[in-house]
Amino acid sequence: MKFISKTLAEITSFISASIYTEKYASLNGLMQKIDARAKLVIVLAFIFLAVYTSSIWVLAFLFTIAIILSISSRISIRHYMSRVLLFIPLFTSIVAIPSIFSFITPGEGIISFFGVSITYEGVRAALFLIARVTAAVSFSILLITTTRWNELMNAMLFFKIPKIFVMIAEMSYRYIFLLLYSFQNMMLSAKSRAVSGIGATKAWKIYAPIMGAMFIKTHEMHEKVYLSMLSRGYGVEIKGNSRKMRIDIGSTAAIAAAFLTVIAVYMIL
Amino acid sequence: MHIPDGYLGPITCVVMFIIMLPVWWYAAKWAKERLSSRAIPMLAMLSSFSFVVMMFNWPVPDGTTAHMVGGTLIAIILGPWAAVIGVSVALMIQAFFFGDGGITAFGANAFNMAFVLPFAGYLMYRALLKFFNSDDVRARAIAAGVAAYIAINVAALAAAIEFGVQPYIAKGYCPYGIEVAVPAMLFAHLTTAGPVAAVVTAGVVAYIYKYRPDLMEVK
Repeated sequence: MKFISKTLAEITSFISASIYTEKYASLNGLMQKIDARAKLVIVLAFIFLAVYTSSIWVLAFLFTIAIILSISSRISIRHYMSRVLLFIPLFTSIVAIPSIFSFITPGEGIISFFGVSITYEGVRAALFLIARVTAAVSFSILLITTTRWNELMNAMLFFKIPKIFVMIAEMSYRYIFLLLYSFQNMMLSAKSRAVSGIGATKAWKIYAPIMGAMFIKTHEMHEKVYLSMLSRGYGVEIKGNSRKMRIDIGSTAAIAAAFLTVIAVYMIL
Repeated sequence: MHIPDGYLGPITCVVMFIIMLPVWWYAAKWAKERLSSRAIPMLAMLSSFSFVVMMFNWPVPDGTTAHMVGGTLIAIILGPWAAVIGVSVALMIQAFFFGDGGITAFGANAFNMAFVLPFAGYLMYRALLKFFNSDDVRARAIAAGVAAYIAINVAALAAAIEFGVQPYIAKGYCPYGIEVAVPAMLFAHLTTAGPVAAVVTAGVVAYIYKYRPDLMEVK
């Protein structure tokens, strides 16, 4: 039963994440006011700096900026921190643990036991990786929580990402919810018919047919979707609604401020 | 297998994007020519499918949950180029919606999971069918299972090499060299994720072959 419940929990967390995004993206905060295209440029500039820099102070500074921006965008700090820290930095910390020992990173020992020692260089390398990952993730979460999906897609069209990818991504995002709904129903009906619970072996047996049925359903659905698109006057061209819009002064100023910060941080620290 | 931002140095990120650009370009061209305007809804639904598939939690002995089965499946049924587009878009949604998989590492992630994985799976599947010299349901299921097993491991190897070279070319990123990264990644994928992918892909192919054999004849 556990596996089905876990999968169901994952579906719910996806749906609640999308609800939270809608909620935070519609608030009247600093990041929400900035044009999606400008925001994409700004966030990418900070992420590039986080990936490029070789100073731990720059990383600490970037993390601070991300937190300040999230506060001024009215994102609840608890929600923001749990989204930033819970998954990737936590995972990275576990991954980084072996690298503090002398058999991975030789160097000056700090403590040693049973012939293995924790080295200064190793701790440094592990902390560096964790700091870098955290700084980068904090900006991508900032972008994700303050931008609506369709605005992000329009921004991508503006930056000449091939239309076919953007169109597919837009449609795909929409149909994820429909597929999840039918997937959830299949899981629930399997769960509700199991009196004594579904063990691992049984879960293996029911998953493959569920997935196969999902594939067939998806395939049958695309035909219907295509026909209904045609009947509504679908042409190959799509029009993003902000492609030719000019970027407002506030957003331009935000880009300028972000670039100045990036350059200044890079020069000074 | 989703590499976050910060594991790969800047040079690796740029190189992986440069490798992927012609692949994406060709895949887009292929879709336009071969699949007509029907392609767009179909590929969109397949991306949603491979996204949803990544949400399954598989019961495996050590409690880890293994994802990533869709690539080989789409490649077998619709051809590897369709899988390139479908999985790339699913990865893009994951990166830009969940923050799962880095933005600077997107090129690398797409290379491993949307290019190497479907092509390895597809080629292996075709080769095995030729080798078995039959295409009944058993041959197809076994070929698909073996292909999925090989594909996920080849993709894991590619990812391991990408972060395994970091200590030599860029300090301050992934601290593990090839001699640690490759065995660690392959151990996890050879023993848990691989068998899951194999059994599931085989099961799904057998199921589809049983109920919609026409779908399996597309390629």
